[in-house]
Amino acid sequence: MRAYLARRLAAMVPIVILVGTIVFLLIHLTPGDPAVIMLGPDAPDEAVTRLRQELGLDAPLLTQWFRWFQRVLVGDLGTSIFFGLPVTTTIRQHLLPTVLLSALAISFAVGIGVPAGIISAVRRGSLMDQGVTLVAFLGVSVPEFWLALNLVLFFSVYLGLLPVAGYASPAAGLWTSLRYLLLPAFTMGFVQSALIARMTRAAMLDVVVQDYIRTARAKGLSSNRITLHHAFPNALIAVITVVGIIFSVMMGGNVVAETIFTIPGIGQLLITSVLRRDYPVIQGIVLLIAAAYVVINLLVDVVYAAVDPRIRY
Amino acid sequence: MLRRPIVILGGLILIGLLMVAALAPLLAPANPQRMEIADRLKPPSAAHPLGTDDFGRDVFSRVLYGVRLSLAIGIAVVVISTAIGLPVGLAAGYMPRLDNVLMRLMDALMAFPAVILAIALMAALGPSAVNVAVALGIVYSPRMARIIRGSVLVVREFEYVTAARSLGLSDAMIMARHVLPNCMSPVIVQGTFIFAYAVLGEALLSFLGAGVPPHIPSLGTILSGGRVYMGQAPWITVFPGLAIMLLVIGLNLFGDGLRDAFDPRLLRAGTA
Repeated sequence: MRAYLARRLAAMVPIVILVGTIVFLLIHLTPGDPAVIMLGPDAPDEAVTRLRQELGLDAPLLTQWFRWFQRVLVGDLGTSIFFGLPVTTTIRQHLLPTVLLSALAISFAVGIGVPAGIISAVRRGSLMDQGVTLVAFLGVSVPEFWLALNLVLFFSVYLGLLPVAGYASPAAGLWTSLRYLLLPAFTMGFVQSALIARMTRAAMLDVVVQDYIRTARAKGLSSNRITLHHAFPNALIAVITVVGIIFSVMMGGNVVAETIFTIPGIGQLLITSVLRRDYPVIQGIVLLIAAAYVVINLLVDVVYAAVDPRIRY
Repeated sequence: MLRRPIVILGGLILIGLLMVAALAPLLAPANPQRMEIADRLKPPSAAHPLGTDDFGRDVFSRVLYGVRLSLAIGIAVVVISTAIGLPVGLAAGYMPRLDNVLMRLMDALMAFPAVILAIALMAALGPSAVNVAVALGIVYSPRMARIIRGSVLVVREFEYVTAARSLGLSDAMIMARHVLPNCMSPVIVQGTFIFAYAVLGEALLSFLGAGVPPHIPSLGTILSGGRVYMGQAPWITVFPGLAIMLLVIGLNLFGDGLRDAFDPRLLRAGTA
């Protein structure tokens, strides 16, 4: 296991360097002088020169690349042009809403998706099974932001059950905070639950035809016990893989949900930074998300070994 | 036997929407940009079949032009992602020495969630329809490269490729004449799915304000503009949303059906 981890971590190095390089190059893709674009066409020349120096844009590209990596490796992502604060501080200030929203959304996705997948595999061909298949198909075809808008219209505008938008920190009370997060988390979770249901169903169908399931049935075990103790644990690998993939999709979903529901998280910060052309913040967020994604993929592989004793690295 | 109706249904939806897009200037009752302030936020009527928006612009005409833009961007994204992914996948699959380098580069691009990378690229490139196509084309090119590499790895082991090599044909010739034509079916299937992602991606980017400029009628910009008036004038947001859904359902059905239709051949290729 230790050797495997070392090998995986070593394999991550070129990926991390390439990811970093792509993020570094983002600022150089801009047509024209990045300093002028960030400060706007009316900015005084001195300010532009100062920013150019601050960002080190005068140095050759390779030197800039080296310097950028040196800074990033010690956790310095630069200074936000809009806030005038270190990018790491700006990101930290927006982290909590995104973490809460993602955690709640993943709970919805797994909480709806896994049972739906199991039931539709056990009762294959039933109305429930067909319903799950249809919802899964619609789930990949419905624009998430459109679904969010319609849910707001129904639950908040027509029924008045939940707030239209906004955010309350858990410090203001758990229920108050939850009321604001419920609708955005449900929107994100529901769309993803379709994918989880489909994968759980496929994995369960592979397992239920195995000999040991027939043996368990021959021993006279109840079908609930067979499903939960004999079949599902063996289908878990596939489910964990999807949850890993969903994390990536969720990061995109956060941008949508946070923008529509005006939640002051990382996603909303990314969009407002794009509109403000605050490149250091954009680079910081994109790098953070890509790094998180690479680490989560590694964790998923490690969890495999933990849940399935057959897997030995 | 259920395969065919799905392809046909998906194909019919697509052909219908393609015709609507091509004939948009003839079908649209009004110029999608013309503002009639006296007619603002009017519900659907004979004059305005899908109502009007907050500037009094005809929603039906705007949706028609939006579908047209979505399809144009979708096609452009498929072309761009194939133009990048095809040579990369072909080279990686056929030349083991290039495989590691090229695929790690693709892995690095895949390490970014698609939406995030697209937003970041749009931030660098600036808002325009062409840039949306370029950004999404780059984002989806690794998917194309991976699919092509996978099929090249299978095809390159076939006897006819060995035979071509023993005849002394150059690598470029073998790739172009013998390997590539036999890898086309997964490319076509993947192309339809990338098309669907591109339609959703364009709408999302434009909705967030990081796509096409707000005055251009795109399904995303219409939704974004109508968002504020959802309680008062739901028709501004309902119809473009339905149009996106119909387009994506058509593409997904068509792609699913094609995948099933190509499957027996792929299975045979996989076991050979």
